[in-house]
Amino acid sequence: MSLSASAPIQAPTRRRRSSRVREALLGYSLLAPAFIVLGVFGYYPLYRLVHFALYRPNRFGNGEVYVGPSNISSVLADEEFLDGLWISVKYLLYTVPTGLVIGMLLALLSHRRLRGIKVFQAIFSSTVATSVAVASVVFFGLVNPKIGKFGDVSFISLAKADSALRGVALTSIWQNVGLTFVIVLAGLQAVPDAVIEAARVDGFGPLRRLFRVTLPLISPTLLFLIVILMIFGFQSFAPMEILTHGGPAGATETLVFKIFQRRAPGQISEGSVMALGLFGLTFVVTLLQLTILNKRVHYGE
Amino acid sequence: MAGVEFKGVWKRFGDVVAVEDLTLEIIDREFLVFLGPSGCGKSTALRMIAGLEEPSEGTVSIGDEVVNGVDPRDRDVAMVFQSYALYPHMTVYKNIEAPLLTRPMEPPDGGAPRKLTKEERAVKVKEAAAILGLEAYLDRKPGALSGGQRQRVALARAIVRRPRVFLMDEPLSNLDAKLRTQTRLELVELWRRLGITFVYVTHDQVEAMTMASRVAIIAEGRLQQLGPPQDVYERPANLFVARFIGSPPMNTFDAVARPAAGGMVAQAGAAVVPLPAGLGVSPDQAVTVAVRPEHLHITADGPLDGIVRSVELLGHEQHVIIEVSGELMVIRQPSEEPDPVLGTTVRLSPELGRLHVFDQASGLRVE
Repeated sequence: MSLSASAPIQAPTRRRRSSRVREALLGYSLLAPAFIVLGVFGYYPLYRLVHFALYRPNRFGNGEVYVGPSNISSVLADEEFLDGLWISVKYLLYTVPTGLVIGMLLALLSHRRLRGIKVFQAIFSSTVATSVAVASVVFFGLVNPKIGKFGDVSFISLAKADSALRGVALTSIWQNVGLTFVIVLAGLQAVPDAVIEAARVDGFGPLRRLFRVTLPLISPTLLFLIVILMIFGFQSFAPMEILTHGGPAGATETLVFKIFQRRAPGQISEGSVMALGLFGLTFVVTLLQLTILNKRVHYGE
Repeated sequence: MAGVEFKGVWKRFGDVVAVEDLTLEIIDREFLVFLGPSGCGKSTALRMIAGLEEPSEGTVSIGDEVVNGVDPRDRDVAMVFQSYALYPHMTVYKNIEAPLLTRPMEPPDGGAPRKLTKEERAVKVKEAAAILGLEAYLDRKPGALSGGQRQRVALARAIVRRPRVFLMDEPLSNLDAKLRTQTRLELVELWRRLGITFVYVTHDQVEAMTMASRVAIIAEGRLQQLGPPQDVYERPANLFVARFIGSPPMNTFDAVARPAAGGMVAQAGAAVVPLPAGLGVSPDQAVTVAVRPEHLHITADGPLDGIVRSVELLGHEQHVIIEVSGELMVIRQPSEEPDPVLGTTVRLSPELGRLHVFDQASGLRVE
């Protein structure tokens, strides 16, 4: 091959390679901020969590002792963890279905063209914009046994161990209603009017229309909501902290609450294992929901 | 089987009048087409038959029954939507079966109307699917079908129950041109076969001309003309219809009627065009004269003159565009005719018996 023939081929190759490197550098530099934020606030803490779970501070507090995976299994099998898990699960059962159903009903009721409906939509969605702490204080004023207006309603009484969790759950339900409302309403607005009209002409009454057409069409939205509400439920902390401090007699000590209690240097190892357990649990539950429900969910065309 | 009647029907959305004083009788078993530009109120009229909109005033009847306030499901009508509005989460089978689920109806083997069993519904679904050639797709979901197949599913869902009235809102507008032509033929075939009243909304005059028993032309919420397609084409009732129907559209020019030896003439500037004898125009009446492109010819001694601006060759015919005192006129002639030379002045003569004359003030046809 002659030199004159190969030269014009080589030149663009070199240029292409250098431009590719430049492009890659640009790409990574654009990704860098996200990587740094994730690294500092996500992966590093996770690494520390695993570290804390595997090591324990020594007696003098100036070094660490390796305890190994046996630490993890012993903590996860311990009654404290299982107790917290059971309370967390009960908390989910109290908060997720109720908030979901009420929020959905409000969304269905206000999904119509009426003068002034926007006012109601704003009111119903306002609980999303309220901080958990503020909401908890509001409910403190409502259900506290000493000062609360509804402090003596026995079903939600914070003073008794068997009803306190229900009282605490009210805060989460109230907040879930707003979140569900906003997301379901958006889902409803994405359902084509013509499909609902076709169902009317086809003879479907309001209930059949709801269960056979509307709900299947917003099922991806509902799946998303169930996943997110369960994660929120597992992570709930402020209502217990503000309303009951985990009491009475530990009846409202959810998993997150128990983890928070174990933040002292001597207990941080146990708390870290619990946090890892909660992480694993949330991960598995979400994965299960996505795989099981995905088969029943319709994602449109 | 039933006809549909509008009596003094108005529909207002806030301050907007969508349908204005519509009185119209749709005859049992006819193929009636509502034709008009978009936003003219034709879809609203159709939706009032379906019960998806309620008239602000006046009555709508199906058969002998006034259906104002009657829920769509109790009207015994079926509708095909422009978007087809299939249930995306159901299979084709379930989509077609949907209208059979709730209403009592005559079982396949005859007898009094009642709710059908699952097996009886299967018979009806298969029958409708067979008519539209959908047997192979019954287990698919709409997402896995082409546009034409979806359109067939929408049709099958509408005919499965044998409704009294079959409503269609621009059902062909989402199909490509070839499929549209084919489906047009099939719709007419379906209409003959079913013997049901069809009410069809479109903005496409070809669809109206080819399928309709009668066309109802609507503009700005008002009924402009009602009649068989050929009548509407040959004798447009007003200027709107004259300009709306026909492609290329009618040529029009403003003129004044003058008496002359041998009858009335229309005078436009220096041009004098004789008008048909016996036409009900009075001297000095301001008129608009219209003539279809196929009824205007280049001749040596025509009353109009103009400059040839362009020639469009379409294969089977040619359109010659001629500027006549500032206005463009179109002549439609066989392609065998000699090509006129661009920029030359030619004389034009309209066929006397094919002139349409409209009163300028009212826009109405003068006979």
